Amino acid sequence: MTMPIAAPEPFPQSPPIPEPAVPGTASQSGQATTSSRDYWLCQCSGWAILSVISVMSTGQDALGPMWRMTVVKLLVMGSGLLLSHGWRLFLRRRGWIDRSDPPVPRILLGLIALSVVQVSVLVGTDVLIRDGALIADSDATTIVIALCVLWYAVFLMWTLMYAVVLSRRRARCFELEKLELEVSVKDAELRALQAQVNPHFFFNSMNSIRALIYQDPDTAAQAVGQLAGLMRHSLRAGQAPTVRLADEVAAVNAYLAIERHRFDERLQAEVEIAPGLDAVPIPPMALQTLVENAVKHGVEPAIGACRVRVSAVRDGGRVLLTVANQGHLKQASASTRLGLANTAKRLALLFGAGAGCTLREADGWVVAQVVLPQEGIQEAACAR
Amino acid sequence: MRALIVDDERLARKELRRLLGAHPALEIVGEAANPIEARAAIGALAPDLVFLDVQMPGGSGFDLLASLDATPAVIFTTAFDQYALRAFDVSALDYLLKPIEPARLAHALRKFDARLQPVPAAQAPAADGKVFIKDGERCWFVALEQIMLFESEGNYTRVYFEANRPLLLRTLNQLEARLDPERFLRVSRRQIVNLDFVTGIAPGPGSGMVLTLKGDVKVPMSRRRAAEFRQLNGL
Repeated sequence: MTMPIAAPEPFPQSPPIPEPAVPGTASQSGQATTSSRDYWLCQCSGWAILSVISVMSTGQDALGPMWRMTVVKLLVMGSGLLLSHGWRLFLRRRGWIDRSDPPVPRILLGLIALSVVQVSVLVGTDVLIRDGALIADSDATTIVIALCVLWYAVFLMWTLMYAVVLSRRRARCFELEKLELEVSVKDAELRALQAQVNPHFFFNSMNSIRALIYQDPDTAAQAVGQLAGLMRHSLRAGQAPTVRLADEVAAVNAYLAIERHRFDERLQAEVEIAPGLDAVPIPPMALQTLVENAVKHGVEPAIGACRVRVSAVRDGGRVLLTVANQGHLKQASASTRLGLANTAKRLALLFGAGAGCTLREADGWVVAQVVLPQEGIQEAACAR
Repeated sequence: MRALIVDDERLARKELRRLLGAHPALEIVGEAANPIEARAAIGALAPDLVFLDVQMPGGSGFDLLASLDATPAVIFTTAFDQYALRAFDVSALDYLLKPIEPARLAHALRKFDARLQPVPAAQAPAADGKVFIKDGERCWFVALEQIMLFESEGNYTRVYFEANRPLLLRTLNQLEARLDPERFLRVSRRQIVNLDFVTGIAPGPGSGMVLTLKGDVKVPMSRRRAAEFRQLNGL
């Protein structure tokens, strides 16, 4: 006996079907369109390959004329495509395939129904086109049962591949989510660090203020206000991606005022902000951190006076923030380099490739400079 | 009791002065704003007690102590130098966190008083018999009688005590002048031994001797020193 409507001998690449994006992932619409296109591509190519193999496998001794046989096979493949698509809709509606523990017995039962329907279609078409040449055979029952088994295998394979593609996609999404989570944790850590007031500074300031309370109550009261303002600003740094330059400069001025109580004439600070820059967005604490470093590495180790200059100017479209202190650049430690690299990275993320942060020594001054490119400033301002 | 305040911040010095006003027994004999001034003041005023800021321009309080021949009693004051304090065996010395709590200050002064009591007032504070050692990041404040062995290494001297072997920036000769000859014996050009730690004496090569110290450390004694030693002990 021959296999009239042959299923593939070497089992063909059944259509592996991609699934629309799992809800909640990035760029949903785009991904959904892509995956839907991928699905139809796989479906069509899979069934086409199956058709070709099936038609080619028609033996010379096939029953009836060749073309009728071919038509029957193609129609059957078409119905296979439709049935598998319907099966996919069914699986998704029931949610049988989207979960980690699919109800396997029910799916296997469903596959039996699917193969019975498919074989019925097959027999029906055969009756219509070839006058039932298939079931005219003496052992028609055996043939029908064999066909059912065969198609059961085909749909089972289809379902397995579909499940594999789905689970792979899910794993990818999971990876992506994990990565996003990691990035957000890192970001939170960085913000927490920024919000931290340098404890050395804090306790020394408290000590100065306590001395001032007895010596000069008015100045002490002023210093408490300045410290409160600075704390508030640094707490805010943990919340917003950028702040107005004017707000940051206010914090820097408060900081310098407090440090002046501590260092007296040893700290000689000048702050010069060009007009019209108040609304420029900058990463919170970016300028303040540079000023703190200038005091730490310039003023603290100096026995005599040390000048610190803070400036913001427009240079063409760019904005340059500069903090300079008298002194020499020590062999930059690993942590300093890391700090600089981190700041540069943050700036690049917020303001684009033109942004950066440099540290250099020139003529007895250590100069830290932040460059904010024009386009980046506009974008960051919009993002706020 | 005479005290010196060393801090680079004027307000911090002022605040400590105010707090010390509650302790009339303590006389503040001077102030210094950096280690250079402090060195000079300690030399000139010979205070009983130094309040010493850890972080200062021109070197830390530890550096200052390590550079002194005679170490006065010290109470460290610091705002937040957790690393500096961790490097240091704080049990040996007292430290106060700024802003200083009056109660903590009183406690530290009581401890200082108690330590000072048995020593006659005329005696110099250096007779406290302690040496401050700073080797790299680590610091120790060791009683001399706890030191087992001094070993010369050029301009430095390696100091053996407990399991520690730090280097001290002093020549062996400088140290010998400070040490109690009753307890410490120069056994060779390179070594000074604490006799309390000697567990055995054996004849060595030539007419020298070999001393065994606690922990089975062997120290050879030169012929000349051995002869002196025999004579001294009537051997």
